[in-house]
Amino acid sequence: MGKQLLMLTSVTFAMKGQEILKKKGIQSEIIRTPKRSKTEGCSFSLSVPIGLIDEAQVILKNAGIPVQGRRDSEA
Amino acid sequence: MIYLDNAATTFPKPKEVMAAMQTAMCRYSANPGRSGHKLSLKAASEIYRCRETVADFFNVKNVENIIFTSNCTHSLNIVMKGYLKKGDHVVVSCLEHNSVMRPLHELSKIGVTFTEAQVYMGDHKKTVESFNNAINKKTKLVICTHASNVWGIRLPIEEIAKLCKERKIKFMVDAAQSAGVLPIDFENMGIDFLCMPGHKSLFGPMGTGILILSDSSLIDPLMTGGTGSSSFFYEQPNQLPDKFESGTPNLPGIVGLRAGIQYIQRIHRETIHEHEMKLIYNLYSRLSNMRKVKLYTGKPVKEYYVPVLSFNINNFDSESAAEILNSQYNIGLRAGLHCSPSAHKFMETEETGSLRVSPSFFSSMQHIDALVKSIEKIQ
Repeated sequence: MGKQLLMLTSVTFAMKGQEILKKKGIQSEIIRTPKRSKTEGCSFSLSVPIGLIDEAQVILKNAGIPVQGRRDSEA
Repeated sequence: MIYLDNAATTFPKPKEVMAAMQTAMCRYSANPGRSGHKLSLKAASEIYRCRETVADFFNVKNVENIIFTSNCTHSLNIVMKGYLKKGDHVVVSCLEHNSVMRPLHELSKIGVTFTEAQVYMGDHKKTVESFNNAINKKTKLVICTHASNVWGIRLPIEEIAKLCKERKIKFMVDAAQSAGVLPIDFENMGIDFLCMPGHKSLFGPMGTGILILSDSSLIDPLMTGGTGSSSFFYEQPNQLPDKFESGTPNLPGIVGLRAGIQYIQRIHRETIHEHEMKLIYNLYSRLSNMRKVKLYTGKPVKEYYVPVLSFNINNFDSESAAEILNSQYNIGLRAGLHCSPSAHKFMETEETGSLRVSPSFFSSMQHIDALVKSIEKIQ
């Protein structure tokens, strides 16, 4: 299954987000966000299965974790 | 040496603390949160685990509101210097450490004023009234030590927090002598800013401290710099904990701090508190029968004291007595003013200072016996 990225603003939010998703049954991986643009700067992302990205984003939003954007994974 | 200076820093540390630090140094001492490689992520993950452990121990809802600092003084400075502005007024207790009083003195040069609220030993109600009376229309912050580092006097922080909520004033607690010993529930006690060292009763190594905040929006960072996030911008990120955690964090220290807190969780905080109070109560009872010893505080009961006891030996200034105990009896106590001239003014001991005994969970009744026998012999 392909992966998509949920871009987060810090490694702490990435860790917290991963824990929350895990509790909801969604496995994710923390990776450094590839191909940074000027508007983003350095950040970390959660790599989640494509079919679950909408659900994952809602879960994170409800937990107060800001999601900067979404991106297809290159891996 | 019989070490009874644990209010300065606990010694020894649990072996688990040293083992955890060594593992961190040997196996994953990469820069946390800066890179995407496995070691950096492992390091970041261990720091995150420590935030979770702190959150669990002090009941903090949001882990990102836990800031790792270098010590309690650092935590206190972040809030005081980031929050207070010209014209603001602060209320402090009359027992504060220089970690509060020196920043306040410095802030007074830019127009911050402060009032010291009197503390009444054995009368929490009167102490709270004293804080209430010290508040004025310009009061923006109340700062209160949870327990005096000199006299062990415990302050009623829950009641003071309630008062601050009623008066719509932010409340900061200096938990240097209480974190790890007394129960602290951040979410339910009404504390806005909780500051503590990692290296005292939390059993972490030196160079670790914690700041827990309920709201950081009104606080400017004391230090700015690299955070591994939003790197394109010169503006410091507003998100926590990055806002207050610039520069490479103390990974081995934070890992050791987590092991220290986990040790307390395993033994149980109440067990540690009980053990230390038993030692101090025993010491107090025996010293109170010695004519040459001057005690200043009441019986060290849990409601009003933490396990810290200060006294003097007649005809000796505190430094001389401490040196005799050190050189002749191999016992380590702290003498002098303990960086708290306010607390000594309170007890009128500015001239003599005092001898302070502060046991830890690793202290024993044999240590107290040896101390009492040594004091008996001092001529």
